[in-house]
Amino acid sequence: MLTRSPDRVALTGAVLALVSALMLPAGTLRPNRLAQGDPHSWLAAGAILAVPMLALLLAVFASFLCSRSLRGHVLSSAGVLLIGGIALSLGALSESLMVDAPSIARVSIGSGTWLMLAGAAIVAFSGWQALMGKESASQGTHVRMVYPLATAAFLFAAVAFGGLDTISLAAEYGIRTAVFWPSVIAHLRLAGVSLVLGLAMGVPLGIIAARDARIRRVALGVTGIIQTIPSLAMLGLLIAPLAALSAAYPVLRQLGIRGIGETPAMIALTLYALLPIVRNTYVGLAEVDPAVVDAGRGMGMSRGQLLWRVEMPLALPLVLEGVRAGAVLLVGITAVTALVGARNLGSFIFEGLGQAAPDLILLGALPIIVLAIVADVGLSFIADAVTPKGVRAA
Amino acid sequence: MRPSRRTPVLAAFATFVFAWLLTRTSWLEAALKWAFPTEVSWLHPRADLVSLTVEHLAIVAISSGLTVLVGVPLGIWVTRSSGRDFRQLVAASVDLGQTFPPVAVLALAMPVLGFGFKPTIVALFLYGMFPVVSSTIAGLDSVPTSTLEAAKGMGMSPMQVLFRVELPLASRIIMSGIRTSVVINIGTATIGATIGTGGLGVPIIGGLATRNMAYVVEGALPAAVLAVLIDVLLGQVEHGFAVPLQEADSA
Repeated sequence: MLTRSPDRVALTGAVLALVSALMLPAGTLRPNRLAQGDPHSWLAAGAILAVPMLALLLAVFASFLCSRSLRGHVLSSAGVLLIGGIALSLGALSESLMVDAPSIARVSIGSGTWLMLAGAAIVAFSGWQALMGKESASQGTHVRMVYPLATAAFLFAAVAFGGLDTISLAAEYGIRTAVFWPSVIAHLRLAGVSLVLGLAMGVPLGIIAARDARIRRVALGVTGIIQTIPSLAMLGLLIAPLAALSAAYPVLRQLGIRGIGETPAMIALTLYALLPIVRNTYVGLAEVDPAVVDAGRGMGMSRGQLLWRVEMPLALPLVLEGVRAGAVLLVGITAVTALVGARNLGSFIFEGLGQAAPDLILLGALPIIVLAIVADVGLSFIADAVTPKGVRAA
Repeated sequence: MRPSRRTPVLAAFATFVFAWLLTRTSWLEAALKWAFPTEVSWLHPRADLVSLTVEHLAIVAISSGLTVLVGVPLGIWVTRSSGRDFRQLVAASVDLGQTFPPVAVLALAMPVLGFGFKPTIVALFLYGMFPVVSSTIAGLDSVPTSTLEAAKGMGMSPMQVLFRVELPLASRIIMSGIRTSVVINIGTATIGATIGTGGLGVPIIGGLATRNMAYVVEGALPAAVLAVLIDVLLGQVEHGFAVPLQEADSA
């Protein structure tokens, strides 16, 4: 039942989690939201610590299991318990530290907690990997989905009942609830509108590029150079002429076009979206089998019909892959546009950097990372779903 | 861009012109004065453009150098038998990491490491790893199995196969990852000015804070040209390496 050659990935994760739990601070208690704090170990968290510690033992034990699917399930459970246990312990630690502290004191998440979470993620990944293996794949996706759902339930419980709502990140959110969600919406709107503008320009450009080699070289060359330009430099180069234009023509100002704010942001983001969309539209069209196009022509299709009924549907998965790459890119660059006065999640980052308030930085950076991952996963899912069955098999 | 025989000469010439223009501070000031007559000051007081550019390049060189020193061996290790168990983990982390926006990574380094040079170097080093590791794995994977078998059949040791066959054949793909990594780092380093790193972001951030458009352009223009130039130069290096072999049709 046990093997001499354990799952080295799972063991690495467990050792990382254990070492960071013992050696690094779990949290820091600050006198107020800006001051430097004192590092604290996990000890103050109390009895709840048993949960992550048992999960660690379970992970080490599971690494030595022979049966791949059993190992997968036990490791995944250990990963879920570990992540949930860390969240609950952090909540308990924060509550117990805040008992004797003044109400303006803050408990920030320590480096030990972050590295423990990384270790827990490695354990969970090794379990997932074991379940994805050939022998266990027949069990279907349903069983595996239990683990992410259980993790989400644990995190919810930690916030709702486990005292996780007393940490500094939650306090920063509490102060800014009224601006937080509008910032998320503004972030998504700016990135989304720019992506749609990028599509409206990029797809036709990609189609022309597939037809004409000279236009292709220019289009790919120029969009490639745009992509290379640092986002902050691009915004800087856009605001000066826009400011001059809106000063010279009051009509533009009435339309909301100004040197700073959303206008330069949207122009820059649209330009950045062009390269992945143009390139993938062109590559997608270039990869369509000429025999299929010939067949369509033989059926008497016009050029327009060929393009929209044969070539574009076949190129669609690659075009969507370009949209995915563009979306992930734009979610990040949108944050930078906060520096030229567009209000979005990036504003929290730069305000936080300005005040040296680490938890305000987190309040901006964590949702941005989540949005980027959601855009990545969501759009790859859509790209998979629209891929015609015949193309997928090839 | 498509490489041609003239490109290296043009790139070298452009680099020379760029470096020379950086030293012509009075020309720059005159141009900015003409473009922004209403400002009262046109050049950011912290440092001249040459030192800002050198500072910028130093930040990128240190972080990208560390990235290559760690990233390429990591990519090699997970494709060897000793590290194969970790390949999936490393590949998945690298894929996930590439979706992280560079600004967010830079911002997260500050609470851990404080202000200044160090957090930017660490953030750029970590963020730069993703394209380098993934291109190293992709490059080594691109070497056809038949080629590896032939090398083994000739009696080469695993080390000889790695250094004489695999790495030379993978070098172009690895170099393209390094190029991507360096160009991203040049861009992210400009934002590093918000946490006090220095470099060409300083006049841009300073100009935005004081609403001085001349400062903004003073930093933005050379930052943009620098990124494009470095990209073209590294592209030349990339095209100097051998084209990856194609897997033979019949196995």
